[in-house]
Amino acid sequence: MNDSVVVRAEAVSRQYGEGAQLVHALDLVDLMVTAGEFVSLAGPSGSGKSTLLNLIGGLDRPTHGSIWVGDQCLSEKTAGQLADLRLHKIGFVFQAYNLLPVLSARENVEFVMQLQGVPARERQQRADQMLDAVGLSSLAHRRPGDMSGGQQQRVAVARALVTRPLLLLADEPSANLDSETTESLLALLRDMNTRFATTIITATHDPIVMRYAKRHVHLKDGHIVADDAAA
Amino acid sequence: MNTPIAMIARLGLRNLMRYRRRNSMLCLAVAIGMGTLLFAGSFLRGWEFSMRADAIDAFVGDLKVTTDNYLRDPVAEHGFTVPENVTESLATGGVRWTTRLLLPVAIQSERETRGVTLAGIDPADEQHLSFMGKMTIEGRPLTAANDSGLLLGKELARRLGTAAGKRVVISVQDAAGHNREFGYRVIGLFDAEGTGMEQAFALVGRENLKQLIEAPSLSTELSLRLNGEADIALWRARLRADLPDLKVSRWEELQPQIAELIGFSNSAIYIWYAVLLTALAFGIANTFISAVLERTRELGLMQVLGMKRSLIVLQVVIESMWIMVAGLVLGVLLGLAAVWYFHDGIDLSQWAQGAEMFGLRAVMVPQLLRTDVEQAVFLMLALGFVASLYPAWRAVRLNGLEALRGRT
Repeated sequence: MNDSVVVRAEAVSRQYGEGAQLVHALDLVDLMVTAGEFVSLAGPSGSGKSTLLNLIGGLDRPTHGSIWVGDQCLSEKTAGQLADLRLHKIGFVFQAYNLLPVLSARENVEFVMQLQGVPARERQQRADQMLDAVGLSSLAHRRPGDMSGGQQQRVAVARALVTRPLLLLADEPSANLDSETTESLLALLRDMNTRFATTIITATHDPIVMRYAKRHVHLKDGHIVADDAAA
Repeated sequence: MNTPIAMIARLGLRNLMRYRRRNSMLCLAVAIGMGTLLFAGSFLRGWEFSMRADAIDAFVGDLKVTTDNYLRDPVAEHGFTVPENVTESLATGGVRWTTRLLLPVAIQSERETRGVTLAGIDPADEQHLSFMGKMTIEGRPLTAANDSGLLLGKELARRLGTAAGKRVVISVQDAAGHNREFGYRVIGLFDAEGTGMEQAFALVGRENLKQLIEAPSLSTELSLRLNGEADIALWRARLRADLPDLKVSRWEELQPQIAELIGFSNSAIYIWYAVLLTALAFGIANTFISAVLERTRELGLMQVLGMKRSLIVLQVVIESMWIMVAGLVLGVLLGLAAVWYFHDGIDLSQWAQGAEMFGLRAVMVPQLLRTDVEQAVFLMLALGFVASLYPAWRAVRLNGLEALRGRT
C-alpha cells in the first residue's frame, strides 16, 4: 500500500435491519484519501455520509468490504484494537461538541493525551499550545457549560488535533454554529490542515464547509455519485 | 497525575459533585446503614460481653482446676490440695488467682430449708476475680478468709424468710463423707444484679469453713483470671504439666450454654450484616445504574475517543467507591457517636425481668470492637464494588456511537 494513502475503502457496504426492513446505507463504496487532503462528504440526509465516516473511524463495521486506515485493516481488529487505533491515529469532532462537562477546556484537551500516557508536563504544554492555536488560551480554565457553542467546538477541535492524529473526522461540525462562527472554525481547520498536513474528512451538507474543503465527494442513496479526485 | 487511573479518580470525584443531591442521598443512606450496622452490632457485642463477664465472674475464672470427680459430683470428698510449687509459681507469675471451697449444702432458716452452694472464699482475692468485686451489700461484708459470718443473696434471704442479723443452720458433708451442721449468723445480704448468683450462693470465709469441716488444706477449685488467649493457653499447659491428675478447664467448658449463646450471638451479627447489606446492595446498584444511564453520552464519548473498556469499568467502579468511602467514613463516625452517647449504658430496667432471662443486665453497655468496624467497612466496600459491577457492565455494553446520539 502506498505510504501516502491514509484511508482506503474497498467495496464497502453497510446494511441495517432484515427482510422488508433492510436498509442499504452504503452500497459497494470505494474511496481512497491520501495524506494532507481536506475532503468533504456531502449529500442529502440518508445518503450515507455519516455512515461512511463512522466506518472509517472504526465506530461501526461494514457488512461487506474492507476499510484501511494507514496500514491497518479495520475489519481484522477487535473492539479493543479499534479503540487503540482511534486513540492514537484518529481525531473526532462532532456536531454536538461532546466535551466532558466536569473538565475545564484545558483538561478536555489533555484528556486523550492522558489516555495515551503522555507525561504531565508535556501534556500541559501541548494543550496550552493547541488552545492558543484555536484562540482560546484565555478560556483554558473554563468548563464547557460556561462557553459558547463556537468556543466549545474550538475546544473539540483542539482536543482532536492535539495528539497530531493521522486523520481528523468531523461529523457535521458546523451544524450548531452560526455562519460567522462556522467560517472561523473552518479557517482554523484549513489552517491545521495546511500547517500540520492533517488529513481531514468531514461529513456535511453545509456549503460553507464544502467551500473550505479541497476535495468534494457526493453521496446519494449509499453510492458515491461524484468525486473531484476522479474528475 | 499522569496515569489514566488518576484522571479517572479525578473525573469520578468531579462527577460526585456534579450530581450532588443524588450522591448525597446515597452517601447518607450508606452512612446510616453503616452507623446502624455498627450500633446494632455493638449492642449484640455488649450482650455477649456481659454474658461472658457474668459467666467468668460466677466463681469460674478463665481457667479452673478441679478433680474430674468434682465436676460430676461436687462434694468435699472430691476436693484436692494445691501443691506448694504451684502456689509459688502462681504467686510469682503475675496472675490473679485464688482457691475456693464450693460445697452443696442445705440451709435452714426459721421458716424454710433450701439447697444452695456454700462458697468458702477469701474476700480479698475475690475483689478482682469474681462478681464479689461488683456486688452491693446490705449489712457487713466478709472482711477476711477466716471471717465467721455468712453473706446471703438478697433473693435467697427473701425465699428463706430471713434477714441480716438472724441465724441459719447449714448442713454439709465433710471430706470423710460425714454430715455436719453449723450455725451461722447472717451478717449481710448481697445484691449481684442480673447474675442469678444471689439465689444460688451463700458466702463464708474460706479458712473458717475449712476449720469447721476439719480439712485445713482442702480446696475444691483453683481459679485464675488471665489477660488474653495467649496467657490462657500458657497457663493451661503449665498447670496441666504441674497437676497431671487434675482437670484444667476453660470457662467455655464449664459454662457451655453461655459459650453456645455467645456463638449464636456471633452468628446473629453476621446474619444482621447480611440482611442489611442485601437491602443496601439493591439501593446502591439501582442508584449506580441511574448514574450510568444519565451519562450515557459521556461514556459513549469516552469509548469513541479510544478509552479502553477496562478503564470505563474502572471509571464506574471508582465513582461508586468514592461514594462508598465517603458514606463509610460518615457511617463509622455516626456509629462511634451512637456508641459514645450510650457509653454509660442503655437502661433496660423497664424490661429487667425479661432481659435477665436473656442474660442481659439492667444496664447494657454497647461494645464496639475494632475488628467489627474493620469487618463492616470491608464488607461494605466489597458490597459497593459488587453493586457497581452491574452498572459498569451496562456502561461497557453501550455502543459508543449509539450512546453519543443519546441512545442506550
